[in-house]
Amino acid sequence: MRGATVLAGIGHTAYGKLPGRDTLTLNVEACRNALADAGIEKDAVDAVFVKYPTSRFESMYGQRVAEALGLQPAIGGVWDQGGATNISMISFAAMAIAAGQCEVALVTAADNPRTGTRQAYERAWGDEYSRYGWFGTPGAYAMIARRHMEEFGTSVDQLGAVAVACRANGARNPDAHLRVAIGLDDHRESPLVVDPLRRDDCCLVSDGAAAVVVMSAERARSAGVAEPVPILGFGAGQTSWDVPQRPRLTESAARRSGAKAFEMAGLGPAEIDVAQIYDCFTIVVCLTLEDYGFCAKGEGGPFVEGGRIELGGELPINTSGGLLSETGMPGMQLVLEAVRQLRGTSTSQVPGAATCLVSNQGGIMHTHSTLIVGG
Amino acid sequence: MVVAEQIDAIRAPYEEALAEGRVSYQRCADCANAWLPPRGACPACLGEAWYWQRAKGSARLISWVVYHRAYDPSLEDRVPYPVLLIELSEGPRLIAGLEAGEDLASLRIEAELELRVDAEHRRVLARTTESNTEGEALPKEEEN
Repeated sequence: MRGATVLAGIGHTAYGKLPGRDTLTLNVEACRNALADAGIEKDAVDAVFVKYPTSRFESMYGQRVAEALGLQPAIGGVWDQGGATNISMISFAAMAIAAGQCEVALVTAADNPRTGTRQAYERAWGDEYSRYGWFGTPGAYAMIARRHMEEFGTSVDQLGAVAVACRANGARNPDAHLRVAIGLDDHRESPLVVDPLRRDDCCLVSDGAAAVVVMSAERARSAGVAEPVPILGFGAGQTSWDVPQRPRLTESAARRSGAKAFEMAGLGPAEIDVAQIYDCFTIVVCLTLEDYGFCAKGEGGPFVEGGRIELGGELPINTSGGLLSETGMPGMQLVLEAVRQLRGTSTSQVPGAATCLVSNQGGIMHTHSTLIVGG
Repeated sequence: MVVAEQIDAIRAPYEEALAEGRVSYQRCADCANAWLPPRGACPACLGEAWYWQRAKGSARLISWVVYHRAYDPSLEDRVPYPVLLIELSEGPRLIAGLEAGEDLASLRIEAELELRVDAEHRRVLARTTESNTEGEALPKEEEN
């Protein structure tokens, strides 16, 4: 499988407030741009994989998107894994292509929680927990952050270092929703949302869509795709739905997912030039880097300090700004930025980047998927 | 509707126990696994021969947070308020509240907790016990 399939094209909409545009239209715009980038005609597409809008789930949504695209695909649909869905579906598309079930796949994600509803992010975690005020996404991640901080001594400024790195990259990206760089003091002084998480630890809430075209390397050659980026490895992992039932709060499914992706790619953490690490909350970056083996368990805090994850550092991350700065979209933007890094077209380009790792995760770290691309 | 009624029927004994001031959990008669939240089959051996047991009322603190934002209008007069993730000494984990008057600054992971039920609101409330002292060797979370 290594290198058998490629990301042939990428496309996205504007990110931020996009009033009056439904998610079907946003998906179509992202797919239109991705197909144009790949130089592939719409009629060649025989698979459509869709990340459902997190903030408004609709039954058979994948078929609605395919219909909006004017396509009658052989295979496709929606896989309900929250933010891990994007890479999970890219992986599934690659496997389906390798198995001869389809040839050209569109993988697309759209949502409009900024101007539409964002109830999905703010509800109680079950009737039996609402009486305690156990509500919303930030509270659940705060529970993980507290345990990590208490168990390993991870500090507020170490979480801040993640925000500082992502916001600096976002400030250089003209397409980013939030283009304001910050310092550690800004992060420290931003208001507590759910202690220990502050406003600047939390991702944006943005409207927008992004899509990729997946096909075999061979098909991309014969079709004359200008800048295909090979898929070297992928993996996935899952853990318990209910956060209290998590065997260990400070370890995530990234461990299993990353090990599988590295094994398939024949690479290790030391051979990754640049990474796009799912950053819905700053603590997630620390945990994911540990679980992937970039540092030992518990050392994610010290690892992100001192500019190591900033542009010019040992492992630059989230070079388009990530969820904290480019767009709160759950994950597909990170895949697009991996393609730009390999093409050499990022607004925070890592010189000579030959490998890029991308993490996607969903829910409260319930689901995880990993993608490694490289030349 | 069938699904909703089934879930309610399974959880009803848990809620009734809380209303009477008791914390209860499910235990499997076949494999002895203990669990919460309430469910119809043992998540370890998948059997359905389970029964309710009363928790003895001690727990340890896995983690906690303090809400500074109200996610529901009913919570506006409560912020800032803590929410605890605790593990009963019998094994099951659940979300709990903190007893009024407890010092947030004294909370530590792995702290020993004593539980009380606020029967009126069917809430499990925890307070730290005096036997918990800083500096004692803390068991690792995954060893349970």
